[in-house]
Amino acid sequence: MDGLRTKRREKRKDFLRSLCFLCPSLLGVGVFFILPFCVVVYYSLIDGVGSHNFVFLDNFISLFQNYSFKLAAKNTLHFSVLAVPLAVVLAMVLALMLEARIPLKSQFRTFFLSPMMVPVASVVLIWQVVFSNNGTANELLMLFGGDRIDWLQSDYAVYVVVLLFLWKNLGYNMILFMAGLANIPKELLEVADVEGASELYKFFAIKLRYLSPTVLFVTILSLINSFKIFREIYLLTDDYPAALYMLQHFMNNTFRSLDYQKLSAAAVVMALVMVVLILLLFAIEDWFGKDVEG
Amino acid sequence: MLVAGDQGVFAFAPDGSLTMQISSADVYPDRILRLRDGSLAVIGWGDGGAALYPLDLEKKILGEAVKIPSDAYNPMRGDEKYDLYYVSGVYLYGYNIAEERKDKLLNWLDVDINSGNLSDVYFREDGSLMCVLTRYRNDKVQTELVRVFQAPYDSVPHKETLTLAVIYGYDIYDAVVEFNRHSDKTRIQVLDYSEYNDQENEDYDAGRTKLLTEIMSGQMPDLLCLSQMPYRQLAAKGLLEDLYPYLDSDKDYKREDFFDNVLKALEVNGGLYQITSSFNVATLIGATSVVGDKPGWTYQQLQDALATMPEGCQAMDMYTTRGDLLQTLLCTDLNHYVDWANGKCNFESQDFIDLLKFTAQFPAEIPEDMEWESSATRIAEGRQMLTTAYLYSVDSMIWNDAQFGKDGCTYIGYPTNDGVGSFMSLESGYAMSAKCADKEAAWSFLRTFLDEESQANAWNGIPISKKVYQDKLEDAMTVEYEKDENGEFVLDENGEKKPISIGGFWQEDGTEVQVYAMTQEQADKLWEAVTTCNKVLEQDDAIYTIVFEQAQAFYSGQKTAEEVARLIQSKVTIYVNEQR
Repeated sequence: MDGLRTKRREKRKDFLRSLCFLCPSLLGVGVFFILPFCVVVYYSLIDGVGSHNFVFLDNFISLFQNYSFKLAAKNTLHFSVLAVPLAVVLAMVLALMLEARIPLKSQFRTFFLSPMMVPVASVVLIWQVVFSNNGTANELLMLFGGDRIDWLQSDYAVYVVVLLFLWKNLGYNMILFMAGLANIPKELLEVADVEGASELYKFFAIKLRYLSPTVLFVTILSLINSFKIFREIYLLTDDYPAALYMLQHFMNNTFRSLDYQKLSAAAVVMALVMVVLILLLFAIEDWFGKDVEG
Repeated sequence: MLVAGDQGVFAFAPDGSLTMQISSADVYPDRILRLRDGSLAVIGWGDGGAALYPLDLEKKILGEAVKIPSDAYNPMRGDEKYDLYYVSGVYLYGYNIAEERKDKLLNWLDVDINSGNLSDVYFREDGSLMCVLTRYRNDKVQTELVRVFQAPYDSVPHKETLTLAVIYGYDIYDAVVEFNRHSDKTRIQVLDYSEYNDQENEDYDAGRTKLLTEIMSGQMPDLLCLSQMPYRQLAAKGLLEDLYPYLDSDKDYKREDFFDNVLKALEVNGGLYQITSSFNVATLIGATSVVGDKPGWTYQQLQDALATMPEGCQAMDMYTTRGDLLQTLLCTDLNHYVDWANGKCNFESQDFIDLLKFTAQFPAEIPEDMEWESSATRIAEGRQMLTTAYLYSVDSMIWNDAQFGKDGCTYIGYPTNDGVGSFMSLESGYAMSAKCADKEAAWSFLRTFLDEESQANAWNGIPISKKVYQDKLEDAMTVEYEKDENGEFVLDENGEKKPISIGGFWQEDGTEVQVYAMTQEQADKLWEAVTTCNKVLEQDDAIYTIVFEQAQAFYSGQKTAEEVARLIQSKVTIYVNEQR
């Protein structure tokens, strides 16, 4: 009995000691992340920073009825659904190719990693030169008898930006997958070879399962990066790029017009969607990778 | 007696003879001031701006310049507390020369004085101020002597205070002072946000930004001057009070007393959210023989009329660029293209496409070395078809018409597919907050703008009251005739009484044009121009920027007008809905 009590006391002391060491980080996270988020939630539930009248869900109702928000959400979803799976799948394919013995492997790797080093403004400049109304892409089109396309202002704009997104992010994702592939136990693959398993079977039954944490990580990272594409879109176009009007545009413009209630409501909605999405991804990864050792 | 003038400082003996003159090549003396130590100084303008120059009568020189605030235009003698006093804006300041410090001492509006009417201020020994106020009212100069003194707090009646936010509120001070003096229960406190403008860094929008920030964060003033403010957006957001119920239940006024088209043009979703006392009309005028005698035309009709003019004739004056015209036409008809209340836009319409095509024929820029020519000369020579005309008073039409001589002109308006393309701009509109603490009290102030006397005394603008308009029209149509030394009318060669000209102007060829009292024909034309005007000039910089930037692709031939209109439609729709 005494031993049990002593153990409990030791555990509590350990916990308190750990808390002391964690305090600075907890304080930082609390002050710079949790507290501001609580303020945002509060702002989304009142009618104005001056009056502070509680209006419950009125701001959210008004937000979901707002044309600009609906357009931004639709465009953001469209872009993410298009770009994120491509970023994950293509990166995995590239990593698998590099894992195999292909010629010029090193140059291939450098080619895909180099976009990470290029500043955003330079990237945007090149894209503008290529895809502007008088740009290279249209010159080539007209050379082959086609008509000029307004790449950045038409429905094709999203594909241009997806291309930009992939060009910028494939290299890093590929590296992550290469690291994941390197961690797969070689013995399992050898056993599979001995058993006569095909490459396709080995990929789905062994490699993919061991890569599931990496797939989860790359997916979440790509999802986050898909929101950051606002930077490139803003530089390529303007404040109101109809085909590329994203949630970040909506937030930016609403912030500038000082409509804090709408901005806060949109931020809360976005946060909730992200939480649900990531929980879903974790659940899928848990289920899919459950047979994987460790 | 000492006198300061352009050439220097002069001393005169009692018999008027000049006894002394102090000249300075670098200083322009403005006035002489006695400082608190009893010495004399000259307030003048030198290379470094306004400064104070000690006056040494013995040596007959001006001393070294002592810098004073640049807004100290009429400094007054100092006392033991300050070296000098001066009035700037609505404040009385005290200035300490040694410390270069100015202290705000008094807001004139707090003591019911419009500082714009101050002729002189005298500091009495008992600490009170004697103020001489002068203003022009009811065709007469009115002078008032006012004593301002400190009184115990409890001895002053305490009224309910309503805040009125303005940006450069000089034209409202008289109305506020009159109201505050005569109201038993309510006091209007003016908050002038132009104080936040940063003149040093040329940020003249800082005050407006601050006011909008406060409004959006819930700190709405009780009353608001809508000059430079996004009126329709504020109304659509429910921040302003509908004034129709107050107007309809007012014991002295009713809607029929005022120009119906003005009230309608100001409506947002059937509600009236601002009140004004007067308005101006901007339009295009052209020779009746070219443009016809009825106001209103479409872009196609304008092109057809231009085709009948001599080759090389331009539609408008030489300084009109496509950017200017685009802005004017957009601001004139913004309500037609943007429905703020429902978040819908109308830029894919034929109207807007015609507008784009019309503006494309004007130059992007005006060459800097272009020699100026008057529109009147160009019109007379057939090199220009139309000119911009402003009806800023009831009699301004007389002067516009004089440019066209005997040919006569029509106030045709800007081309539009919807009605007549004249637009009105308000002198100043005022609104009540939807959350105003005392709406009846706020209306009691706003209704003073509908008062006939205040409309009649307004310096500018056509009054919205039909009765005041008719009174002013009668004055403008009153003809006075020349009389000889015996009091007999002077007759012309036809035996008719010679009317007296009300003024004139010189044309470039040296001809003098005399202008006379308004005729009935002009009065009818004015009535038509005013009553057919149903558009209000409304500016939205964000919308104009979007339209202008996208229009460049059309102007440079890269895209068709339809493609550009479609792009503008989608972009502006997003912007409009963001504001809802």
